[in-house]
Amino acid sequence: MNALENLLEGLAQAMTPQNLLWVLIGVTLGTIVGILPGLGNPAAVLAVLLPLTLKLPPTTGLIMMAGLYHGAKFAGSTTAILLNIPTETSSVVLCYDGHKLARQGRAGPAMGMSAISGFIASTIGVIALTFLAPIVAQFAVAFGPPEFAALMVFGLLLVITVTGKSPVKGFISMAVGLLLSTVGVDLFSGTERFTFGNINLFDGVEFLVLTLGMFAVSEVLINLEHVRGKSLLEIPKGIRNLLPNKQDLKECRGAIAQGSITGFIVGAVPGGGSTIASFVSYTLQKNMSRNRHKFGKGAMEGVAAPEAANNSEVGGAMVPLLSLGLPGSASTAVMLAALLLFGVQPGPRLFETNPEIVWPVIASLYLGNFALIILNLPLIPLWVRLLKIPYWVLYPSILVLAVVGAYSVRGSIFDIYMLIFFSLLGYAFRKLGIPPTPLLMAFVLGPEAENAIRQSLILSDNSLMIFVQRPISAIVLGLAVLVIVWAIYSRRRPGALPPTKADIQQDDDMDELTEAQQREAGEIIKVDVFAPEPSDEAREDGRVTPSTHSPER
Amino acid sequence: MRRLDLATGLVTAAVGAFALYDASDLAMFGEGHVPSAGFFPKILAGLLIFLGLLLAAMSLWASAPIDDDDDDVETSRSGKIKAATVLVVYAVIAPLVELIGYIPAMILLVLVVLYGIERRRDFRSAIVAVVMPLATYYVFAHLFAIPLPNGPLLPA
Amino acid sequence: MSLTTSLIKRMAVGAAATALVVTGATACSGSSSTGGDAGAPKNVQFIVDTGPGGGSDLFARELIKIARDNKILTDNWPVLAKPEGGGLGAMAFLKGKPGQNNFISAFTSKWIIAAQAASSAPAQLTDLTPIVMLADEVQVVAAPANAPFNTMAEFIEQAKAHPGEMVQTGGSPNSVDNLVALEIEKTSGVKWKYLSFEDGAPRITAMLRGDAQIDIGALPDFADQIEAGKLKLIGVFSDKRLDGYENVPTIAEQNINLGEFPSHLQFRGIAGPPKMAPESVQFYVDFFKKVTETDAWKEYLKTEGLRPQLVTGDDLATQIREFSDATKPLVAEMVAKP
Repeated sequence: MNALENLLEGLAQAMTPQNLLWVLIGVTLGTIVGILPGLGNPAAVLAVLLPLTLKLPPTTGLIMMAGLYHGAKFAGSTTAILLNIPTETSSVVLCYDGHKLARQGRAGPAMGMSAISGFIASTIGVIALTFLAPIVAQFAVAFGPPEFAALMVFGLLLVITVTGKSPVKGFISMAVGLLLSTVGVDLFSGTERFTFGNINLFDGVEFLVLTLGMFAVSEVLINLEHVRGKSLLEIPKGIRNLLPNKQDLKECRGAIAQGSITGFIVGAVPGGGSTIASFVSYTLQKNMSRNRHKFGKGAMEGVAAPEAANNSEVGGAMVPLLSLGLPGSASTAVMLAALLLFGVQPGPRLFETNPEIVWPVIASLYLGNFALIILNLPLIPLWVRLLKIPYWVLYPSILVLAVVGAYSVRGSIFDIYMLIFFSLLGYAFRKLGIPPTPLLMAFVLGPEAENAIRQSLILSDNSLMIFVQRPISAIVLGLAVLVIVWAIYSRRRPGALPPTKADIQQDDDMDELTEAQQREAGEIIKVDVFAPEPSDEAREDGRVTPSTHSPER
Repeated sequence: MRRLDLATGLVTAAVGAFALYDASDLAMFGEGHVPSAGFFPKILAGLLIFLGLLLAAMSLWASAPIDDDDDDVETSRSGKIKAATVLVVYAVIAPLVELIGYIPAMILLVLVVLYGIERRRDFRSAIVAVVMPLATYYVFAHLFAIPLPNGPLLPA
Repeated sequence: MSLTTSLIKRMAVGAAATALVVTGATACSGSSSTGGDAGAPKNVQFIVDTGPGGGSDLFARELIKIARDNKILTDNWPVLAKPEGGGLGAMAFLKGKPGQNNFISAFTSKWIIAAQAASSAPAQLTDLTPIVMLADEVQVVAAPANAPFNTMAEFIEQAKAHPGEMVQTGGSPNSVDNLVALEIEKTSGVKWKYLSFEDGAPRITAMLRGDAQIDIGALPDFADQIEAGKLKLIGVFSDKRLDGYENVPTIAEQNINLGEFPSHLQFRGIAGPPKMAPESVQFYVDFFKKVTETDAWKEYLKTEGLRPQLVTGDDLATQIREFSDATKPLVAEMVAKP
């Protein structure tokens, strides 16, 4: 098959030793940079480090960029899982289950699952791109406002299913998020909404500031409330516990598959992005999964599905880019700029006119992901050790980084005020039992939904029928209805009731057993984050003591 | 938790009412009766009022308090005070970056947090307090050319 | 001492040392002289209204780059982003620095509209000192290749036959492409719809899909699609036809009445804070004049679809006023609408 031949040729071209070296460098740089808030957004990373890559020959530069991109994405997942701080929008979902897993001592497996499912999804994405590009391209053009609106409404409905124990509070969170998203100058009428005449609000609330405040800083504040002597995170010893086990992988097969497909489709739609892809995939998985009660408390699938979506989204986003010259999402917009700088004109005929550029690009994206796996999987133990940094060093650093991150978005002191406001809001939410995640999801999906709905109604002269008349839109809405009905139905079904006390007790027993067993075997080291290290005094005496084996207070 | 829920509900409803007031001069419908700028905000504000009142009502009439997410960690009074103090300190010092410059403000922040709140009055704290802001300044302002305010003490 | 602490301590000392050295070094370089330019302002900062990578940001960086490559500038003028309110933030910032000659900004005609549209604009372009206009982006009208009309005039005819059904796609209704369209609607007595999208890509797909019939924008936005045969041009807002598109008649040739609108629709220029000294203004005028004379600049304009301009002084003031007068009533109408 011609496409396959081209892909293989592209791969062969891309795999020179020089390229491999640069992609590894790219991955490393990307990972380092991706940890910093405000810069973690892969698009920003690429934009900032682009000048570096320009010094290299085009193919090498592109491959290095791919490395940067994947490095940054992985870094985003890392901070989300380890610290509950999303440094880029698509890793927000990982905070939910990923961090809970980390708290249960399974940080390594979570990160490993993130990398592995990402890699598998990337592979699927590249294959889909290779073979399905022309078909998907047609589909991408046909995806107009009504279809997009249907997709966004679908996403929002799914958010409702993630509301946690108190639906009313979840709804409140969502409503606040939606309201916050309307702040700014309205796209269609040019009127100001909720701006109080302050020009700093004309462009709306900055997403990064919101995230830093409601997740990073408020997380710090919540952690500070802990009684001294309780450990923050458990760090298992031994490589066995640092990667997902066979059970995990088996469980997540469906999640990875679903995430890959969802991500690719959402990515292929111009306007869809990795954020939306990961949200939709996560909530979809939650509704489809057998272990749905585990979601929010540490379900591996809650990491596998969104990460898969995140990665195959890139493949999907390449479709409109390479076939129409139109970027499908923010990260590919930067790719587009890079391609242009290299003198390659992506346009409707790119596949025909410049195949010798296209296929190496695709191959290089894939290589980047491959390099990521090779480089970062073995480094996971190192990342996890990061948690050993005493919290009294870590949390002021987070506070400082939050300030930089917030300020650096627009160089505006106003954003710092907003940061403080959202820190307070996030802290209040958690104290009051209101889940902050629906707010965030609604904040991202809301404007897209509103814009798409209003665009559709303008097109249809205010007729709601447009959503049903256009085939794709009707299908998406139909799917949405199906999923919601399924969700409600399965909640009512006797067998699928939320776990009873007996079930929970049994689960806990099982966990405790394993934990005790593990502790006996010296497998787990509990890290006491607030205790002054006992070795301080020992140090003064000149004695050398083994590292942080502190007894639990 | 019930009294807290009641307060939460009422505050939410109040916020919704305020939002509705602020959006009152936005049009619901525009040309051709298409939903305009005010459509969604007003509906959302109304929804918020409804939800707030609902929550308040539920807290008054529900028999058992709503079981919140697993709080397997005890929080103590001292912990809460600590958290609140950090928040206040943060709220006061962070905006000073523009007034006295990024580096001085951030050094001040970390010093106050470590010396004042954490009571770690040793050499290591001083190192951290100085290194963190300097390191982040270097990375952001120089490596990434994102301007951070220098304040009156350092040259612009 | 545990391994971690000693490591941190070592890192700390090392980093502190490096940081101090670096800060010291940059402190020195920050106040560097401007080389041999006598009387030139020092520590110039270039204000733009977009973040890194945005239109004005790239424009400013290109100017600086060309100036440095051609030794017109020996210093480095950092670009400072003030993106709030699409120009309002930048204008407010400049307004707060009257008389200082080391701040300049890259303004666009968007700023004029932004001030008119805001409920309480903190500043407007006339508060500042306009220095020079450097370029003007030629606006063209694009349509799907298979559209049943070939010129803008024919489009208007069609719109007359189907009032309120044809669709023009674009961005904010406060942008020039909508305002011009509103003016045409007024003078020709026809109405059509305006469909807003935030980005350029959905606008193009809207046309490809058949949801929209025309889009007014700059040539580079559409060039690829035109070359691929998916879109065609049906009009040009210019005095003469475009190179490479000689078969596309201008709006004037099609006898379409633009009312009060001047022919420069999207222009870019340089402005300074209020009350700038005439010598400073002259310095900048001369400076940018030299830049526009370079080949690199001419190349840049060509690739960006920009027309070279060099308008200063009273001519510039007149042009700004003409534009402002044309847009004012239209914007006022839009704002007044419920």
